[in-house]
Amino acid sequence: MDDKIIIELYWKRKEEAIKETALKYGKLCTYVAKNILSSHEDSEECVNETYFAVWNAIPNERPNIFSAFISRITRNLALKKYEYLSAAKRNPGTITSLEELGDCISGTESIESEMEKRHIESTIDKFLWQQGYEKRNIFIRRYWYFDSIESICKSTGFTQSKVKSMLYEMRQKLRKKLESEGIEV
Amino acid sequence: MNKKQLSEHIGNIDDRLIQQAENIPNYAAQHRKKRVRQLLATAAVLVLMVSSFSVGAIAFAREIIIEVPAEQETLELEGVNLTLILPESWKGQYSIEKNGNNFIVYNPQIREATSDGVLFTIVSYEESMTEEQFIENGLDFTAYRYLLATSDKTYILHYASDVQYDPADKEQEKIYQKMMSEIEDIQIVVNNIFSPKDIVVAPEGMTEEVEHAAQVKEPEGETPGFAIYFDTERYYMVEKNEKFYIRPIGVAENSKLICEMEIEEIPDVLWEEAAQTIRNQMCEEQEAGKWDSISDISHDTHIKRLHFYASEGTDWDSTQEEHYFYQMDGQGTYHIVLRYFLEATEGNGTRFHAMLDTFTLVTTQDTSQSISK
Repeated sequence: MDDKIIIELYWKRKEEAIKETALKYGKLCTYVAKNILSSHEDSEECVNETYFAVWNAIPNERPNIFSAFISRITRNLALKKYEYLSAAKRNPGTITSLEELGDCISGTESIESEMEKRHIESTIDKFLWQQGYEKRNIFIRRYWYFDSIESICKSTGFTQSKVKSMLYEMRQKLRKKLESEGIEV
Repeated sequence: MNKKQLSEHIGNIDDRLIQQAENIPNYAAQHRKKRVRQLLATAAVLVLMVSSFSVGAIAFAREIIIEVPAEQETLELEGVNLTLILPESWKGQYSIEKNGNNFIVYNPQIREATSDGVLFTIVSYEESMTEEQFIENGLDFTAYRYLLATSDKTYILHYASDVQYDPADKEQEKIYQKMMSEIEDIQIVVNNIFSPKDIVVAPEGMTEEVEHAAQVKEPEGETPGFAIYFDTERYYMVEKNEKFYIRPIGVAENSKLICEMEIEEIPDVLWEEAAQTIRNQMCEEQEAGKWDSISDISHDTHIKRLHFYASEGTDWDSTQEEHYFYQMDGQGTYHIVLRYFLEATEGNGTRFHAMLDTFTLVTTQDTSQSISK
């Protein structure tokens, strides 16, 4: 079913909307959740919470890109859940992926105003648009979708060392970009 | 900032970025395919038809670019944006001497014995010439190979015009003759042809110099690709339904206030026919009330292209379209549309024009056509 029709169903408060969303995007959401949470039950719970969150969010919003909208909700919910989980229940892949991001920052929690947050996010957006599409997509697969290096290699056909060096280079560049924009890393 | 905060910020990136990364192709396989195509066209190189669309430049100047295999014997010409790819057997058998803007390549062993040994000279002429102009100017006084012309220079490989070895030394003669016969295998690479460059733009009448980076669509077989420069701080390029769009960063794709450049390849249709067909369609739309005015089709006087304009009206938010048509050497047309609302004419409109001026066709062509002995 076309995304616009699904969104319309949400606006009309028809429960069929959830069924259609699950049919079309269930796999994607489960994939995103499982990349962050290792347990099947936790992921399933997270996906169900996603549908509920979309049900509540949509009458106020008309998302342009529904797949990005819904997977973002899953990602946020999964990361919240991830925080509450014991180390044993966390996906080790997510831990590594987050650790890698440590290259771009100092690691000290900072207090950011809404304006600062917007500035940081637009800087990251600009930075990503400026990269070649291969590097950009690999970066997003790793740090947005939390794909493992092995999985990225499988999709792209690149070797592990190539993917790792691309990601390393991108992290270094991102740090420089953030610093050049006066953002306290 | 800590890792969690950064991850949250990454989580909020542009929806389009997330969507684009949803399904990523096997890039390595794509690269291999490209390499196979290059191997199939062994004698072919990429020939960039530079300057033919640029103000003040000569029509159909040529630059030759190719991919350099990493293990190949290469020779970079100092101060010139060129690299020569030499036959592997030349390793240790050649030296280079710079003489003004020219480069003399010779065999050092023969030179030591005879003080000759010159194989060829790369001569840089201080003007841009097509091969025909080069001949008309009477510069073809020795056997030569036309390499390329940029907007202000022409590079020619001149073969040695007399005997450059000791005819009594059969071994020397054999080495020299072998190297001479291999000169035609030498390939020329233009270095960093698409490296970023500063371009002067004057949005809202304020002149500024902005770094522009090139995006290149590679040619596929006989079908030319293109290169275009744009300011990546402000714009991004996406491909959708076989069309390329350059749009301002941060503006929603479905915004009613459209600002974009659209690049479309129309295969197998001549530019005049393409322009006429598209204009006719728009005239039908005009009758239905969409367009307020549509100009006639005109030839540009300084650039080889056709254009016409269409306007929805004079309200600040009414859409304006400029249509440009570039002929692809009898193989089709590139159709470029600059689309913006009236109030953005001086801003995005001006920036789009600066980008359009850098639009260049990239085609493949057999080198044999540009080799002359």
